[in-house]
Amino acid sequence: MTALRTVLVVDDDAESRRLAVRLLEEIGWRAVEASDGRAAVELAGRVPLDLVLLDLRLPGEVDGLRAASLMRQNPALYGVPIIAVSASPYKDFRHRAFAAGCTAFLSKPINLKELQHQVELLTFPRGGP
Amino acid sequence: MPKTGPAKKVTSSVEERLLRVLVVEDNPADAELVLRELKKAGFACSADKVETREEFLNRLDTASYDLILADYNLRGWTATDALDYLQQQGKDIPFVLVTGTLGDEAAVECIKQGAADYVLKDRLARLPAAVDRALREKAQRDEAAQLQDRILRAKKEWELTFDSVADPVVLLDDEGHIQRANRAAAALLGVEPRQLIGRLCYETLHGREDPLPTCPHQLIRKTGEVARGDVYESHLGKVFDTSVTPLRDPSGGLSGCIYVMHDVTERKRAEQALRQSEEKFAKAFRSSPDAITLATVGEGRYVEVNPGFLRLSGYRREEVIGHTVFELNLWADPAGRAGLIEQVRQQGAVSNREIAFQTKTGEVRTGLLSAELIEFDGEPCLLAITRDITERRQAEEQVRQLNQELEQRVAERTAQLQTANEALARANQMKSDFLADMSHELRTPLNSILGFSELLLERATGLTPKQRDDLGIVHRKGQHLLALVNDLLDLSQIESGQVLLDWNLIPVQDTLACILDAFAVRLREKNLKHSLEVTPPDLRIHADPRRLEEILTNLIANAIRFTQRGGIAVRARAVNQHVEFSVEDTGIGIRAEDQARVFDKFFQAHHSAETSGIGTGLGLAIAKRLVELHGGRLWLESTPGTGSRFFFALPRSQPLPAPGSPPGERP
Repeated sequence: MTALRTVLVVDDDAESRRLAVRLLEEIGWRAVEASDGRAAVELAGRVPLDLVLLDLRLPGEVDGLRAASLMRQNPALYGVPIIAVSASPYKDFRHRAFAAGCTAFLSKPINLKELQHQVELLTFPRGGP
Repeated sequence: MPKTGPAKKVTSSVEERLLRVLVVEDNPADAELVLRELKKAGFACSADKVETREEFLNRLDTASYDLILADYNLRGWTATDALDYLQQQGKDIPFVLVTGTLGDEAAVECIKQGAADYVLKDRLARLPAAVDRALREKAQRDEAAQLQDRILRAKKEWELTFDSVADPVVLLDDEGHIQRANRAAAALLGVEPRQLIGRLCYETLHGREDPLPTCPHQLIRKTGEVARGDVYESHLGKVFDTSVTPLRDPSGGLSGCIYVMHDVTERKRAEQALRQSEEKFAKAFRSSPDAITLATVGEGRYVEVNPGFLRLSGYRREEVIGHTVFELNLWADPAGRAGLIEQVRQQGAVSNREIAFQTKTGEVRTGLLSAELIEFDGEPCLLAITRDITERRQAEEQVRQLNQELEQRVAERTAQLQTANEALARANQMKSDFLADMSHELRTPLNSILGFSELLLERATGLTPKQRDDLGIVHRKGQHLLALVNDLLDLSQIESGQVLLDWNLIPVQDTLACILDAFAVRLREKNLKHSLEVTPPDLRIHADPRRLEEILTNLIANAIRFTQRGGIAVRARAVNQHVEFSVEDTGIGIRAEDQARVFDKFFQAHHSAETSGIGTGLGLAIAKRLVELHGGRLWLESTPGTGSRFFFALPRSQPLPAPGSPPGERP
């Protein structure tokens, strides 16, 4: 058995965080959480991560897009997939997420099967649970 | 010595030169006798003597003679032969017969043939008188011939002169018949001179059937004096200075006249043109609204002014003429005139110089002055035309002010619009923010509802079947709510003008097949047939692929929802510059009274269990708006109980680009 892999779940809505954490733990991930962009970037700089699930709408100066680009500036996070999550009505938002450095895009409400599928797809090269 | 008067008279002329005599005599003694008799009578002669005919002819051919004295009977020929020869040669030489005897008949015959006289040899004393008379007659004949010659020459000269005169000249008799006409007259009328002879002057010259009352010819018939006047010949279109000189018979009565026509048409035309030009000038001078003045250069003394000047200046004519510009104080700036005159002197003329002038009442007005120097009665004068442009200047000033006001108002209005635009942009931004906020506020709780219920359904153990069903309801209703939220947000975006189409060239056949594929499971579940037909197969269209998919998905989902048996047919075909899509079903159909309302928001034609699946009530409204956003239209045909067919037609090419861009978006 290898060590548990770590996912950073970023969302200002506590229930949404809890849902994501519950699902990811079920499929064998260790989760760390942040409720705003600044905390997320700080945490990502500190804790070795294998995946980031990032809601793009975050309170404070650092919103999700800004947080994604800040993380991408950290060489330690260079190869870490970032899955963007957005409840925006603007479908073009997906492009802006990719431009900021995100690897995948899910719209909110999150379809759990789709999340699981994306996670497995993005982290497959390192071996599944 | 001359014995007689007449003889002496003749010899006086002969004395000056020798009388050359040809003596035709076959008896030399007789010839000597005859010559002696002549010399005795005082004739200075040089004589040649011939006997034969040959000698005679020879002498005549080589020399000239004043007198021939001939015997009648010669050896082999007679004096008659000699006379014949002279006559034949046309030689007029006095010929006197000197003969022994001559019968009366022969004598008469010789006289007839041109002999001047005859003298019998036994009466030679009579010879000098006969010769004298013959010479005198010859001299008279010569004189007559010369006279005749002079007359003929004079006649010829006169005719030549008559015909050389460039002006038409005709001679008329007292009744007006043409007696003579020169070449110019004939040429004027286009005939030969002889064709004019005998014709009436008014018929030919005036082209009339009766005499022309104004013709000078009529005048001289009354006065008998030379008459002259201009006559317009209407048939020729010319004016002639016509002079008529009376011709009188020896008793002093009028026998006719000489009628001379001098063409003055060109001169008359020039005179008329000049007169008209002068009239026009005078008229322009009188009626011009501009002030026209003529004043001496030095003193500025007015010589002539027009009514326009009087009107403009307010002066009466007598207050101006003879007075100077300075007395009238016309120039608002008196030094201005000196400058003007200097300029006119240098440049010859001045045009459209703006000046200020003062009227009688002291009002200062603005004028445009043009002037030039002319000589009038030997004195340099300034001819000036001034146009009053006071009103024009005022109007221009008004226009300028109006323009300024207008510009100000435009600027104000622009500023207002700017403000309004900014407000609109702010409002749009707010609307956009509101939509984003609403989207999050609605979806975030749904995330938990859907997520946790799904998590429970998937992973929870120990749930009773009843609990599982109840949880299923939560999940399904949550999904319905999500669909509703999605449609509502979609519609809000479209209606607030925030949707920009992403135009692409789309292959219709592939796109429709792909969309239909997504419905394969549901079609199979309901056991419905489906078909796709694209004409022509390679049909392509400019549209936003995602929005086109949304439209078709809405229509196809609707068709499947309301169809229990049969199937659906999707078609696309090119119609002129449009592509007409249609989705046909064999479902329950839509009642006529509902057909217009199916595109309203939340309108549901059927709430019964006949329908399967749950609609949001917004699908058709969204489809209709998206079609319209593409510049197309959406409509339907339906028969209740049989089925419905929804059509929409989109332009094949992108319509004119919509201006503006959507406001910035927030996540």
